[in-house]
Amino acid sequence: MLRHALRRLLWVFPSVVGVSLISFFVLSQIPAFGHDALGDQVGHLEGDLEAHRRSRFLDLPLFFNLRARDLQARVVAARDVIALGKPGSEAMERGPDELARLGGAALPEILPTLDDLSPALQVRLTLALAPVAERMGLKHDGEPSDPAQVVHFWQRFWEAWGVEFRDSTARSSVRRYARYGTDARAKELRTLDTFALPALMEALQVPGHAGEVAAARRIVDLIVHVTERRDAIRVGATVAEARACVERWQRWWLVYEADYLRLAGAARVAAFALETRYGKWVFETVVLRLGRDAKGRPLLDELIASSQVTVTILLLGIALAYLFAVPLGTVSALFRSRGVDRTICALVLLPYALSPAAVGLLALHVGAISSGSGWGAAVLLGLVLVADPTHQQRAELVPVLAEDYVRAAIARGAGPLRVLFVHGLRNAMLPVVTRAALELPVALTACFVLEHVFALSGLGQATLEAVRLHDTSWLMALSVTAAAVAVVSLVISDVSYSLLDPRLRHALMQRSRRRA
Amino acid sequence: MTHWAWIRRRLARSLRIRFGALVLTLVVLPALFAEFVAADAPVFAYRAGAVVVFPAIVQPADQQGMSPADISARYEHDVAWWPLVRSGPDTESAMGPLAPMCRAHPLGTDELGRDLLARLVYGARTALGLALFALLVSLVLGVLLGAIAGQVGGIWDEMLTRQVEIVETFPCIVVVAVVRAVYPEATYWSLVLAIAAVRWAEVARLVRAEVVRLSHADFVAAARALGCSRIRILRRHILPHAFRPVVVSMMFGVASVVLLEASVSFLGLGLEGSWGVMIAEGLAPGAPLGPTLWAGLALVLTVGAAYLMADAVNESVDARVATTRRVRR
Repeated sequence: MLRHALRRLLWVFPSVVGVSLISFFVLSQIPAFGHDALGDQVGHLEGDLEAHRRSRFLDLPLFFNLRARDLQARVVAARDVIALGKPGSEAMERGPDELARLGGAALPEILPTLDDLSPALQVRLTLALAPVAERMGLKHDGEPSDPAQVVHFWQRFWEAWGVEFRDSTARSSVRRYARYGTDARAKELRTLDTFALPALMEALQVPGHAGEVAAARRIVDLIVHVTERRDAIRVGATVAEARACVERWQRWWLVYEADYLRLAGAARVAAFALETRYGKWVFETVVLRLGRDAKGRPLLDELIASSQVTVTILLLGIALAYLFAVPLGTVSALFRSRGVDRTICALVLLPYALSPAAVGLLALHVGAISSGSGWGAAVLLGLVLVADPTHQQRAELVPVLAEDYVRAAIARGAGPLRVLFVHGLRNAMLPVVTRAALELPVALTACFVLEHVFALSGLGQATLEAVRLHDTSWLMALSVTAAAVAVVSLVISDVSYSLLDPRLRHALMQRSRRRA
Repeated sequence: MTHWAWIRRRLARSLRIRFGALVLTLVVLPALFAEFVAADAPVFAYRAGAVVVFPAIVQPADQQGMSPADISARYEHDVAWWPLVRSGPDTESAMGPLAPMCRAHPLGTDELGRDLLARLVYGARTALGLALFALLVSLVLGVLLGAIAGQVGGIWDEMLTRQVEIVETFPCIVVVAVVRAVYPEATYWSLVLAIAAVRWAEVARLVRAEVVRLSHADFVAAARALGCSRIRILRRHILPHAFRPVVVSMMFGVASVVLLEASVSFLGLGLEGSWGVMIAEGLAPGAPLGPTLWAGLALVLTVGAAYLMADAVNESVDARVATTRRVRR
């Protein structure tokens, strides 16, 4: 039995992935620059379109990236721009800027092969590194900006420091810096410049309590210095502020990671799938806890906060509906095709057919339920949902009561109550009640409508807002959650049915034994 | 008596079927012929020696920017056959807002002076048309996928079964929300596809069940022995058995799609001229309840009739249920 349940539960993964793939594809059709809250914010912060595009991964392909742009590709591109660009042109400005941004991480790509280039290009290329030298804090007498000496300066630098530009060195320095925070280590890491970024990001932990804030601030300070992107944890910051800052940096690293890494071997293969919009989304979902919504709030917290209202209403409403549906359906089946049956059918059908919107509005206008009442919404949800299970209960019970064993029981002299409860309902109730778990996703539409009517801030309102703002991340999170809930409720319904029905349990056991 | 004749007799005897069919006809006919019930221009007019039929549709440019009074005046001296209500669903009436019931406006007007009957009739067209197309698309998809899964079997069957289960329990409103986020202006077809994307699963499940049940039946084996191709066996021998459950599911589908459309429009994710929008107008504080009540009534009639009919058909085709009545006594 357990194995059966687990096997069913395993379908969560393929279905969640499938649903996320489909909704991601559909949502990627959203025009990129509409009315977009995220766009406004980021545009304000970084002031350019390119950064905004990158922060939403719009520069990446959707599902497959056969030519992921890593550090090497960017350095080569920048070198070509510097080599081919005319002095004074716009491209001539961009090339050195890009090199300065890539910084220390680009040095192992440039300096060892400097001799292969023409002398003029050597000079131009190394001149572009002047801001990097400044950032690294190298001692110099104006050599980095002197065309006559700059090539020699950098060659000397590489002879002295080239050994240090290795992943293991960077990682061990960062580890020691994170632990002790000495100035010597800081100086060393500053010299490595952006080459130490991957190790720094690895060492950067979201601070859980006040004691970890200082360590996080030390690392963030270095990252700020190296990237020249001002977003440090200020002195005396609270844990929440520090955590928000660290999460911002982690998100930044998600966007720019490939710029500072040379992809090789397995990493290059993985980049086929990871350096894509979908790959980044999955990464953000799994590692950064769903990331943030269009307003920059943590998505997971929002989702949990707003689903509390919705789930409460849903569960209460479904419970109420089944509480009334089973007796009503039973009575209906007992008095089949007579007045009582017809009355029950009509009464149950009325709120269902009136639609939750009209039911809610009428209740609001009559004054039966005031705005903002979650209980009222739950009761109305139950009222709207009661029709289906009632009809099912009736439809299940009617043929059972016509079975031969019921007739036999009557013939043996069993009383009407015994016939109903022991022979009738025991068989007819199970398929109805075990379907209750499946109502959870299905009743969501009615729940959204009732939330809207009673101005309850649950999932419904948040989703409407997300649709207005084209908040892709919220809708993705919602559809993935919905798929997961759908699978789980399927399993609950399935397993509870087979647990409660001895015949099915037996059949299942036999089948699994045969397979084993 | 053949099986079909038996079913037909049971259907004709059923009160629910007769009642449901009558009510549904009362909703479907005005929806189909909405231009005869409410429109700005006459149905046809004899004008300047020529007959003009449906001027509003045939020559829309002629009436661009004309007020209802202008249009009225234009056809005043002609022989013209006017629809029941002389204003369309979006026209502001000369009677002004919140007019009471009268000859010109059988149900009165709403806050903006639009005729309520006209809005109801065109809303019925929206709701029923959406249901029709969504169900047709889901029917085609469901029959195809269900038949393939049942015939092919194996891992494909298993995969489709799981997929059907998930799609069936996936909340439709989420699909609509996702589609609406992509297309800011709700188009008819985007909604049709969004609804069909969820509804096909039920049809596929029913069709697959019949195909799996019957693929080892004696008459299928006989047909195969006679040399029928797989397609022919499926089409002539198996799929007709799936007809009944699918028809029942389609009729329940009409009820649920009409309801869904109303809910979605109520939330502002749907189409403009819809019953859900009319209901939503009652949400503003101090707004009159008229549109809400009339739209609610229209919903009750449509959904209730479809549900009753589906229920009755469901019972009448089930021989076990149909013969139980005497036994219970």
